[in-house]
Amino acid sequence: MERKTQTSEEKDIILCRCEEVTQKTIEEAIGKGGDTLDSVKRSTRAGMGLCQGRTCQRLVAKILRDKTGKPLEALTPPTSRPPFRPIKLDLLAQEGNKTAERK
Amino acid sequence: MKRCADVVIIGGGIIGCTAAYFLSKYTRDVVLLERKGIASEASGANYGMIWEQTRQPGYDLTMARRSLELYPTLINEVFDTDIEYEKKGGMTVFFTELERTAAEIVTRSKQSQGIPLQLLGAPEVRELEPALSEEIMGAVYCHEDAQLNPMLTTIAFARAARKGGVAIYTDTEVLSIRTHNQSVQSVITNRGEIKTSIVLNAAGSWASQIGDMVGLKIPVYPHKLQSFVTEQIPHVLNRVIQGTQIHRDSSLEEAVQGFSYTRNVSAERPRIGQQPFHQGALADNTMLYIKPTVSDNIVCGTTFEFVGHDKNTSYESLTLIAANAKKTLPQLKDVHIIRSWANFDPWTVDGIPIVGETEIGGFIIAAGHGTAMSHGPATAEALAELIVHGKPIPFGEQASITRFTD
Ligand SMILES: Cc1cc2nc3c(=O)[nH]c(=O)nc-3n(C[C@H](O)[C@H](O)[C@H](O)COP(=O)(O)OP(=O)(O)OC[C@H]3O[C@@H](n4cnc5c(N)ncnc54)[C@H](O)[C@@H]3O)c2cc1C
Ligand code: FES
Repeated sequence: MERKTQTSEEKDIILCRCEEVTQKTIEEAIGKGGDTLDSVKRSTRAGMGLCQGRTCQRLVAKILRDKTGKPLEALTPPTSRPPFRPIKLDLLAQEGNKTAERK
Repeated sequence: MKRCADVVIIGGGIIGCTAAYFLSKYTRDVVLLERKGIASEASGANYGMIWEQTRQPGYDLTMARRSLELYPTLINEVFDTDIEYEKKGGMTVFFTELERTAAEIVTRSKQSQGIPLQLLGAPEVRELEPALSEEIMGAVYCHEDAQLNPMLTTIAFARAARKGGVAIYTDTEVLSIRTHNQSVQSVITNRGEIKTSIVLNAAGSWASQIGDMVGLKIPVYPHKLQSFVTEQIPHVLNRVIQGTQIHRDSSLEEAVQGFSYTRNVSAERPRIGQQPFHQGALADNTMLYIKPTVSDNIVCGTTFEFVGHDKNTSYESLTLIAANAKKTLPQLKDVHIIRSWANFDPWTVDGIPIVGETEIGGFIIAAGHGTAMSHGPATAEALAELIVHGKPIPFGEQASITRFTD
């Protein structure tokens, strides 16, 4: 996917709404050597707010991926809920139709 | 952490956060305790529908309507972040003659209650939502219905409450409640004790555990709903789409109930301890929801189960949801699912929450909401009036815990 170059206004976007941390602040923290979610969190407070990062963690992880080249899976803690990989909806739907018909 | 407060709210979901905000208008001495983060349970995991079309007359409709009035003012005057509120109308689609007949009956009866429902035919449905399946026969539509981002909304209330002086403690779990002479005295948490004479139990589907701490049986049960979300796709859908829970072999009476959200408990009054219905196969307990998010990921749901607080998602449920979603919005078939989750609708036997005072002095309940995104602001406004001015809650007898015992 092609990424647009962002204007400075877009960089003022607040990524962590609980702690009011902008994209720019997060990028600066990464520029200063922050290369994990935890280090960015400690230096900017992004993720330490009321929602404990549920809203912003994914967005911060994406910026980290873009800036550091680390894959997302290495940046975010693993979850134990399926699907483990993106899966085509139709594959599940076909199975679901069989279940609904069997009953 | 503060050691005493006028009011201690337990739970940082939409009910606790709206209550904190409305109380902050009157007193600065409010504490909110949340064992995880704000909106970390049902209030961050739901579809954000603020619907009037599915409400029952009386308490339910009054709260839903009042909230629909309150949200625009809150957005303009109080919130400092966008909550993605959009008043786009709500649509319940159907595929069969049986559903159409039920839809006609429900539309007429709700119209007579003053809910502005319209019955749409297939062409009108596709005019509003061109991507929906050609197999859809029609829809029940209500132009008053709105939608929002539930997580951002709950956080916006928490921020407004904090600005108003409420002390919010996350990662703080309530372990027990001390009472004396049947009145609340203090709340004990993993971080210490807070003295208070008023406790608001806003613990959602965990409300009965908080009730146990004061020896009160609160018949709220966790109703598990599973969901998944797709990758981002080009914009195809404008609003939340709901299906029905009507099967091929449903009777017309069941179909009407399925449409109007009334539960078949009217013959027998709900009692404390009455267990949730055993519901049979998961395939019989699926109901379609498709919600486009602002970023054009599509959220799909759901199946209903009573299995306690088990948050695992299951392959069976996800396949049933996918089949329903594909049938309704065929383009979804080639889209990837990227994540699934489960959370709990705080369920009561008659579908009405439990709100108001109890036999324990100072112990107030506001829990058991199937639609707290919709009820939240109005409920909180009424609770603040009750706590601060002693004003009764509108239609309060319908929501009182005494309905299970008297
Ligand atoms: C998939 C799904 C879709 C839904 N869709 C809609 C919709 O479109 N519109 C709508 O209006 N409603 C919807 N609902 C229902 C809605 O989510 C609930 O009505 C609402 O979130 C309940 O809010 P609450 O604050 O009562 O509970 P919750 O949000 O569950 O909050 C309760 C809080 O209490 C905390 N807590 C529990 N025990 C303790 C303790 N001992 N100490 C401290 N804290 C504690 C929990 O951690 C939790 O954060 C849906 C629900 C689900 C599951
Ligand atoms: S948005 Fe960052 S902690 Fe809530």
